[in-house]
Amino acid sequence: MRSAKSIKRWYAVHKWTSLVSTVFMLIACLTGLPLVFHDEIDRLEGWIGGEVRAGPAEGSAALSIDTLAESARQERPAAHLQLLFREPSDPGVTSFAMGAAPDAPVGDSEFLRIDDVTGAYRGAERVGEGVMGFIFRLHAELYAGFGGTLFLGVMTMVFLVAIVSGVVLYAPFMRNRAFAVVRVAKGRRARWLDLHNALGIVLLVWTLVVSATGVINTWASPMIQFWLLNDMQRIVADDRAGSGGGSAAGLASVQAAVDLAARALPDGELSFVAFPGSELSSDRHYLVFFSGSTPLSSRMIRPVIVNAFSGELIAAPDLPWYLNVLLLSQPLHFGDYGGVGLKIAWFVLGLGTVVLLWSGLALWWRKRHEKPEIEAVAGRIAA
Amino acid sequence: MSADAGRFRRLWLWPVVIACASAFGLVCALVADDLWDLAGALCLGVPSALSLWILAKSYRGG
Repeated sequence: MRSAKSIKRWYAVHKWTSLVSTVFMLIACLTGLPLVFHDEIDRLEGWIGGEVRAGPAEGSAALSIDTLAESARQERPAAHLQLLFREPSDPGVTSFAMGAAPDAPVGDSEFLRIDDVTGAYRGAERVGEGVMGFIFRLHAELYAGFGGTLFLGVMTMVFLVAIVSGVVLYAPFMRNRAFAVVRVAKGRRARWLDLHNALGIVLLVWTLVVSATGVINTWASPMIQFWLLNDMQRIVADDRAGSGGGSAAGLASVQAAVDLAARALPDGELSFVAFPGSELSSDRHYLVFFSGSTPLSSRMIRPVIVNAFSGELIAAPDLPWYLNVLLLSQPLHFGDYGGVGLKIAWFVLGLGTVVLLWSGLALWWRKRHEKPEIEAVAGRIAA
Repeated sequence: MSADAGRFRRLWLWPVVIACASAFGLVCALVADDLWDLAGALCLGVPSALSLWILAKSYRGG
């Protein structure tokens, strides 16, 4: 059993780590709630705007990716192709990220939707546009760019310490009480305390996992850059074809690069392609990313590197462990991997976390009465 | 069973059961589809339903 002194120390850790992180975690939780249903909300927004996301008619053949890319170029002649991707939630459409410069941040790019069958332009959007975009930017970076993302990562680490210290304090605070009892008759402070303790222990695993994966996600950009500047550069170091630059007109066919990559990874499904010069590739290569077809492997991607000028396959390397950890952490943070049932559970657990954080703040607000509580617990332990 | 073991069980039995249900729910929807998605939602439904129950108790009293 822990000594009275040790409990007081853990209490101080819990109080201060919670106080430091609570406001930011409240923002993250409140903005995370609508993001759980962002696919459904996006579809609803499109439907209200008259957009139909029904996918191509059966039997209709998709155009070559080169034709689709050309359609995107004609729509935005001054912009540069950076990425192309296909989303299961948007069937029959290929999206192209286009930026003011090839290496402009993709977060600032415009995403053009091109119909796979007709090649027609089906609209464009930017990251951070609209209500959901505003909520996403607040959730991911507090509207402070990469600095905001890192700050949120640090705050989430502090919150993880608050969770662990809360578990340590659970036993001495709940020693003589039945599970999940809320002492309503004993006044508002006892009610908040019991609510806080009960919710904290019920939500423990979920908050630990969502917080830890959130921290990992804040490191996504440095992890990707580290891989590109190290492993990727090492792989392409000997491939000099096309070095010295080249215009977009001199590029080999994207469709041929995707076909070549598909032959190298026959069990995969196209996830996205990074164009040469973009922040997710080198200046001379297409990076064609494939995901697996099983529930777990569909969350993991594997790159195939194709020379964008000679059209030659360079390598199909495995991603390093830290990028696999990042990819695995994403569904565990977003809760988008088990259908609507899981999303509803995710939403309720998020709501519970908001009340948990709020009850912690309410307890601190009534701090004049708080000291006797910890003294009473410490006294009981010492006796 | 000793008094200490009884006290420990009373304190930690439900938290451990809920933690196991949560962990299973988080993992099983990730490794397979269909029934496993349903199992994941049901297992994560345990802490979700308990949270709502605790909130309702705290609101109503008792």
